[in-house]
Amino acid sequence: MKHESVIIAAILLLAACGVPARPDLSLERVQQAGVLRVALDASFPPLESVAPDGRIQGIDPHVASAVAGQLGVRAQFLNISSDGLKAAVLAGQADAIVSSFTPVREWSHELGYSRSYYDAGPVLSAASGDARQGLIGVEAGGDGEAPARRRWPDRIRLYATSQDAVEALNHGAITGVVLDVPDISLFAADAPGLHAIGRPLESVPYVVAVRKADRLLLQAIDAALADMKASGELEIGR
Amino acid sequence: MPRAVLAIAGVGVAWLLVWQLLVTPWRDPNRLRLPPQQQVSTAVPILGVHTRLTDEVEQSKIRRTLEMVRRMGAQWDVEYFPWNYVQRHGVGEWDWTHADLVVDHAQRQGLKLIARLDSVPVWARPRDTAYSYLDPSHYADFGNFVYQFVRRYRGKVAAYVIWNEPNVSYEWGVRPPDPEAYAQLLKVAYQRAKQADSQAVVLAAPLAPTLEKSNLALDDLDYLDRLYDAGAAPYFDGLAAHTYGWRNPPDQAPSAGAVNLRRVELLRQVMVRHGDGGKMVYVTETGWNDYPRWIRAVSPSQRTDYTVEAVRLAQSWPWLAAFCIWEFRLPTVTHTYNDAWYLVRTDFSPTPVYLALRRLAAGNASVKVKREEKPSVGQASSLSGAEGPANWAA
Repeated sequence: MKHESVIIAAILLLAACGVPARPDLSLERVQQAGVLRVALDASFPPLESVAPDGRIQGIDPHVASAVAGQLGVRAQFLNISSDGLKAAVLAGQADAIVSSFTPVREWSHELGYSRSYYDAGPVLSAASGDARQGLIGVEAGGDGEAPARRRWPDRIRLYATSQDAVEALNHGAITGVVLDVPDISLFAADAPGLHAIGRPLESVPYVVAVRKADRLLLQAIDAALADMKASGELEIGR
Repeated sequence: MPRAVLAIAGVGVAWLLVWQLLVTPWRDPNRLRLPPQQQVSTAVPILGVHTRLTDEVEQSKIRRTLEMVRRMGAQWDVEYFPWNYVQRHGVGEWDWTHADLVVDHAQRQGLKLIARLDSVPVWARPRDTAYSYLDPSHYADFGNFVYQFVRRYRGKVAAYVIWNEPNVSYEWGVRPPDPEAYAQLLKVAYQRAKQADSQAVVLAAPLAPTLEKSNLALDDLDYLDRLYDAGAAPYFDGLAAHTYGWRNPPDQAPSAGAVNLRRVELLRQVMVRHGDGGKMVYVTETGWNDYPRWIRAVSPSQRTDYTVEAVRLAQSWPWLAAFCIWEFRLPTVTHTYNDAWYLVRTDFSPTPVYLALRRLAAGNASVKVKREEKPSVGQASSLSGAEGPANWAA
């Protein structure tokens, strides 16, 4: 009887402790390889795109390279379709996703998410003049319409596309336009001097994603992003 | 004990029983509450959509989605039924709750349902592999899932799609695409489906339209050719196909070096070349995207025009059974280009594409189509509409 009790106690103790976790070698793996393998879909300028010379360019590869530098390694980019980013990381083909990636709650049991390094949410923008008064253009049905309506219920004018709104801004029909933060640089050629005013009306955070089990790598990435934020290096694209 | 106390206790117990038997089930959100039988009225019998109810948990939204599909005049509905949702916990564990909701509501709306079957449960693949990884040692397990699925929904599902885009690495377990291995998988699935229902229509997997020839992806025309060479022809009744326009208008001529809508005609030529011209093609994904920052997107008005024009064009293909637009609606806003495929927004408001297709399906021959050449903002021209480069770069 005493023997059985000991066995039962041992089983309960093991159950309480759970199965021993595998050692987290994620950061060590990256540092030993000397490379942070980053999966992205380089078809979304200005965040990520392929330059005419074949280089991967944009805000995301810039952030990824800076993070890799903080880890003491270099970034290597795997350019694949957005649909394959998660699978690439889960299968160990890449260490991280840095690709206009917003945290998806349903995937949080498989992926770990860093702090946000970029907010792509809709923001009031203007080229010149005083956007605090006058009409504000916004794309009908776009991410910016609902928050803009809440903020300026009597000043909103809807347009079929953001480009139409920017053209109206150029013609002086409106004094401001609500755009997603990354779109400001895309429209800069159409509206010289276009810039964001204040913070986004709603947050659309872009994060780095890694495998859930790669906790040490995620911690190191978070620390690198914190350093970059403190140094002002993440004030990009606005 | 006084009789009055016993009587009160008896009434209390009876009330509890009534509550448990009658009221509680009504509060169960998964209890089937089906509307009256409906029929699709349409002037475009090939028209369909690809819904994404996989992660839509609310029955009322599943019903509303499928009602809007019917009201659009789409009679075909493609839906994804992941194996790892139905048999998540092991060989003997089955959970049909969500699949039942979708299948029964689709049937009640009078839709012809095409069920896409793939996505491997954790127990059927090695650790640290993707959901699309299936080793031949588990083909029989997948075959058993197909058997159970077909048996359960016999008479309610019009066709079954075996796997998705196996010509790209991430849909083939993040391994090099392998048409010969897929032919084996298709054979197992086909045989098991027919065991469950000899009338079941089994479709070979749709291939991702791509020009890539690497370990990350295989050209869809080459892949289909190799699939036939591997002896797959007896193991599918029709071919599922994905055909996207990217930035190209729907009438652009097909070419082995271009990804456009009419590339599906080249897939058809491969079938005919292999003596398989008697089978139908089911386009289970097609469409244009109007996300402003995607290099393969078009403007919103182009998207509407191209989609309507594409449906008209597809009606002239005698070998086409269904033409399903990707994608109807997602349960949540993703803040990515995925939001720009929608026909109906997350809040159920219809997009201009939905409204135009509804007019077309209602027999309105005057749905306006204008050709707009103005490129959308942020588009680049270097990729010529092909799948982007898929390789490592330092």
